[in-house]
Amino acid sequence: MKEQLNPKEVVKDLATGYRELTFAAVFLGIVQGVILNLAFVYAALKLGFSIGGSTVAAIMGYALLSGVMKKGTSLENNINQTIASGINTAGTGIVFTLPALFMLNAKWVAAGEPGIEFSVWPLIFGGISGSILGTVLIIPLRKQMIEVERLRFPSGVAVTTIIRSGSTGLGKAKLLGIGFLISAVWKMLLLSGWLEMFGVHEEEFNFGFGIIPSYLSPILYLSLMNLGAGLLSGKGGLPFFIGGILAWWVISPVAANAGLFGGVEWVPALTELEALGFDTQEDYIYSVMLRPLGIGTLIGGALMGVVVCFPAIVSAFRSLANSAKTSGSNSSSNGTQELSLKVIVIGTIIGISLFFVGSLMTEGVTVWQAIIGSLIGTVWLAVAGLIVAQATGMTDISPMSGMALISVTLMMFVFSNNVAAAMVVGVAVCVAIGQGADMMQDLKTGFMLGSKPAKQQIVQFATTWIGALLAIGVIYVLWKSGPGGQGGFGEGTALPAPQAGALMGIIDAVKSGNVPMDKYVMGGAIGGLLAAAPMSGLGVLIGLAMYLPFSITLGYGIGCISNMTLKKMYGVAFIEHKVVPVAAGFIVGEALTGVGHATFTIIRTLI
Amino acid sequence: MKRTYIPFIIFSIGIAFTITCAAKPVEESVKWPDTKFLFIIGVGVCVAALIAWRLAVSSGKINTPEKRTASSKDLFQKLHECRDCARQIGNKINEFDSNSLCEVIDELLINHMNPFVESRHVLIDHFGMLKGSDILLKTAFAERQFNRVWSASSDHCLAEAKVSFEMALSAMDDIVDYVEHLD
Repeated sequence: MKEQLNPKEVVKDLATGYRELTFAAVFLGIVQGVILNLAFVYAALKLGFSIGGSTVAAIMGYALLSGVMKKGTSLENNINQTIASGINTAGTGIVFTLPALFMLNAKWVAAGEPGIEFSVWPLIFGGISGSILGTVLIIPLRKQMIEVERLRFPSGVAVTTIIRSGSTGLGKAKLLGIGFLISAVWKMLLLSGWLEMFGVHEEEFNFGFGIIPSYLSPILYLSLMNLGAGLLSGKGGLPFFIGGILAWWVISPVAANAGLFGGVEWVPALTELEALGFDTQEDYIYSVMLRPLGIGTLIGGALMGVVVCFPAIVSAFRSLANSAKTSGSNSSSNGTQELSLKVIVIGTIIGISLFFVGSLMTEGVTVWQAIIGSLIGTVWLAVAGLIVAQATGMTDISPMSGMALISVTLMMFVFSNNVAAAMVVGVAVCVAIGQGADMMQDLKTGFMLGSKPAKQQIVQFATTWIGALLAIGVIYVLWKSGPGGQGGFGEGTALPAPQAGALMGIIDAVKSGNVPMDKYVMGGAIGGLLAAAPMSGLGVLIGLAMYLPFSITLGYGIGCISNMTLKKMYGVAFIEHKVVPVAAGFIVGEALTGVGHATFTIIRTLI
Repeated sequence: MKRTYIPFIIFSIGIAFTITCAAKPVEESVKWPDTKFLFIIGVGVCVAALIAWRLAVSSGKINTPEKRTASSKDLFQKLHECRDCARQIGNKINEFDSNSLCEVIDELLINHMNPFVESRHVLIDHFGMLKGSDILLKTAFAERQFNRVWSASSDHCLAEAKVSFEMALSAMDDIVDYVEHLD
């Protein structure tokens, strides 16, 4: 019984302290964050998607802090992964927006139109402002979403399982390993293309076999990560699945068959669809009808959610105010574990000021426009952050591109179609909402490990701006690396930047007045109604189900139903001890294989 | 049939109808789809059903005090059981090694803490959103401290585990006092 408590050991332990916020954790987090940021900015320009760095950072942290240094703790590793993923995620917000500015300018100049006047400084201010406001927003939301609503945050649970795996005994570590292996092998099979002979195309399986019509979207996304998120969410994620069924098995057939009842056709004939740029009825229904309606529903649902949960939000703020009062009285009280309201106020003022300065420095923006833009931008940023945090908390899926779309649309109106100014706000909003979702997952991990939230939030404040600066720098360098000092990425190059291409399309649509405002407004009303129902989170979940393709919702729903069935058959303990480690393994396995594949693809191109 | 079922069913049908009307694409050079009046009717039906649903939920709480008391009692019992279990662990904390302390904390969280926090809707029904949230926030602090005990113990820092355990136990006592005071 060497480990049992004895007075000498207590004195020694208390003198050295329990390692949590240490130089080693911060240093390792920054180094990993910088590497992940550089790699994933490049990968996102090439492949069109990015990957959260928490899982990679947690595994490396475990190996280096505990394995090499021999004195690392779980909470130290949590600080390491918080910093690394924060720096990495700030880059994601930039890479999905900023390249569109370069590409649009080049496109318009080539077409003989006036180009876009812009400089790097407003964008830097926007990026740093987003980093600060994203972290500030999360301080009260942490209490609301993690402690009151107790949202699941599947990736946060997965990272906790990794960090704890060395200490939970062989049983859980084995299950995590089994889940990891199954998921990694499955992902490699999907990427290899070998499953195409069985009808699998781009990781999706069409079970319609030409019999079930395409408007019912008989497609299953074969991602074990998606299934794992559903397995971790259980009953709480079921409305998301029901929303998908409503969208694709009720609305879609009505839309596709409206003409049968003597009415006007809702969906054009196949020949007309091709002329409009759609391959199938499903594509049209998704792009023109369900997706924009889903975005509106998400926004309406989030706003009404604030109204419905207002007393709980008041309670969260009151708790923060109480924390500030007790912080000086007792070093181990709750007070020193929370950042106070003062930090929220100061952070918000600094964030809005940077926003204002960034907007004002942009060519063609007046002082009034800068004031209105920074205030509206901050309010919208809070709403978008709330939506993304709720969506990731309930389903692990982030509707970031939809929020970027609304940000740029909104700011184009505010700044009278000044693309450069709209992009400064777009960059800030995307960085902030990415930060918010990532930080919330990290705080969930922190909660499950018993970390002090203030320490995680302080390191996030202190380091995430690095990610924004790095990503802006990388994008500038890559753009300048093209022939004649421009055109280093974009269509026809080795780095096609697909997300930025999509945003360019949106900016063009806004300039030509082609925005589906009817869908946003009607969706907003629907989201409000759903969120006012006495069932928590209905607006955001059903909005998200309409916003996403049904293949994802279906795979996720199978996970939710499997969780509920297993819970009924074997009980809660079985879910906690057996299902959670396997599901976490599914998430980690696919994430790491994705990282490996992205790296391999880039190296192969360079060689 | 439960009195909430009828408004729930009307709301579900109404919302499906409303979403379908909203989904219709607009004709060229028109701002709104021609289903806009049907959409407005759908919204009206949903609002009416929503009011009826919320009234049925709240009248259900008022009209069945026995049921309300029973579920609240059950909840308070869960809270007391959680505190008692924590006290028992606290009495023997010097006897545990790292692994066994992790095991008892796991049992405490799965068998006592989780059932209490998962019944949070009963708590909010009973005390209202504001006070219910206060209790949940205090409970979350205790739970986070128990999680810290687990982590410190698994990292072989038993002194930290003990300090955190004392904070968690003290938070549990505070919650029980607070709930008894409110009730």
